[in-house]
Amino acid sequence: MVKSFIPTLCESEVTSEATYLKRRHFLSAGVAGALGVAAMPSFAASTPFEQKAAAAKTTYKVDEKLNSFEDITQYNNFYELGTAKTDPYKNADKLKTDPWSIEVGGLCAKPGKYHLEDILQPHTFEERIYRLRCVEAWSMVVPWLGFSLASLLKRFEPSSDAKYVAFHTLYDEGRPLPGQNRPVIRWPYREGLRIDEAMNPLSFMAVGLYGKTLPNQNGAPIRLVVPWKYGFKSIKSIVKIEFVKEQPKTSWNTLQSSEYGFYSNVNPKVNHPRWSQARERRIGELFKRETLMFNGYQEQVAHLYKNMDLTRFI
Amino acid sequence: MTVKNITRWLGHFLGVLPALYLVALTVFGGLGANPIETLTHQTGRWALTALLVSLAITPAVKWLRFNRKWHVKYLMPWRKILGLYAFFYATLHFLIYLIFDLSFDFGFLWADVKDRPYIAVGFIAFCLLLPLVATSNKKAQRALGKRWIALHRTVYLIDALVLVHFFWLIRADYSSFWWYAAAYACLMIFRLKVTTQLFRRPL
Repeated sequence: MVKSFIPTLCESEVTSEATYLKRRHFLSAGVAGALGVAAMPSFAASTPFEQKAAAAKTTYKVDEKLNSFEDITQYNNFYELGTAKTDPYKNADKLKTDPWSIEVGGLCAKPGKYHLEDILQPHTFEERIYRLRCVEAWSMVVPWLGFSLASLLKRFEPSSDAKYVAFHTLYDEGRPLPGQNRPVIRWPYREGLRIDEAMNPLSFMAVGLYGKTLPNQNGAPIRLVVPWKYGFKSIKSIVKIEFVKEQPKTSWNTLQSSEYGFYSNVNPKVNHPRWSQARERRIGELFKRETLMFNGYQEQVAHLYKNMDLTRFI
Repeated sequence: MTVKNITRWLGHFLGVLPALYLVALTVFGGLGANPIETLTHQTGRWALTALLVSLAITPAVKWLRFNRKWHVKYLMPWRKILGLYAFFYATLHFLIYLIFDLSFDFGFLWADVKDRPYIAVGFIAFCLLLPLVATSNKKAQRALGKRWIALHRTVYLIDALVLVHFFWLIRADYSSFWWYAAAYACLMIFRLKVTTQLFRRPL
């Protein structure tokens, strides 16, 4: 009972109307609890996650209206939990995130299997309000909670030979997730970045949204967020990170390379065989709006692709 | 009210049912985070469903051994009624896309038709429905004679194009597509001479 209210304690600076109201609800519940309920002490001592979430500062934001928590958590592409947009929300409880560990390997000085607690421990959390642009031509604005990918990767001391980073999503063959019972795509889901893309300050590891623990359908307990690339690059529920020399195989690219390039930078000028990428529908709006080059993050990332023909390297 | 009227109204009732359902979803906020996408997919599916059900009337009549007079009078009108509802849903499907996805910009429409094969195929299927709708009355039927039958057989092609349109827009999960494809395949097999001769029953 008490547990369900706790997340509202760890609000970061950005507070939507809904969470604000919930917080009031929490306060009144807290008063009721203080009037003689034995469970109270357990909620007073919040976990390290909650403390860090509460202390998070907004370090990056776009001045656009946030999408609602409901929209962000009930309209997802997470094929491990089903291919319909509402499936991940419905099947969210099938994903077990505790215990969780990440296997780090490849060309680095500190490979190994790390518990999630140890992964998170040294990082302070920050909030970043990013646009998320799906290749299906819809978009959202999401307040993520987490830390920079670079700060995580540096801890494993990648060698100079590590030109790329590869990521895997959870896939337990003995206990597949509902969507993994059918080979819709080849499991496990794989993604990857060039090392300079991964080390770019915008690349982010999210562990929460709206100041709360990341809901399972959004890729709990830890996921990548690469805001200048199409959403499928932002791999969810990561269990493996590998430093490699060659460009790694990635899931959608393997399935249909003419549609989903390795880079998959948001680019309104590259003609896509399936969806026009010139425009997008912001969730919550009826009509489409113009898509921005690199999803509006040109200033931060355009230099990464200086000498590349982006019509060829899609 | 005659029996003929009752069966007609029943056909219309079935035809508007999905539309009522979609209106209810819209009114009560059941369309989800991306209502336009939901409406586009739903109207497309119902157009295809109506086409397939319309296509099922003739084989159903043959197999269920209805009294000939009865079926010609009461069941055959359903082919036309459901065919027209298929056009109704296809029109909604196209208009939602044209208004909300393309902001009524015919330049965007041309770009889409030119660059995206699944849209081209869907658009051709929609255009091919137009002459069928225009000749769906008794007068046109009489005026065209035998050519009317030939013309209306293009619906076999239209259904196939709609299925191609559907197939090409799927990213990875084909599971629901195969049901529609299987239904179409069965309905076409029933129309082969070999099949009808094999299972010939007196009408």
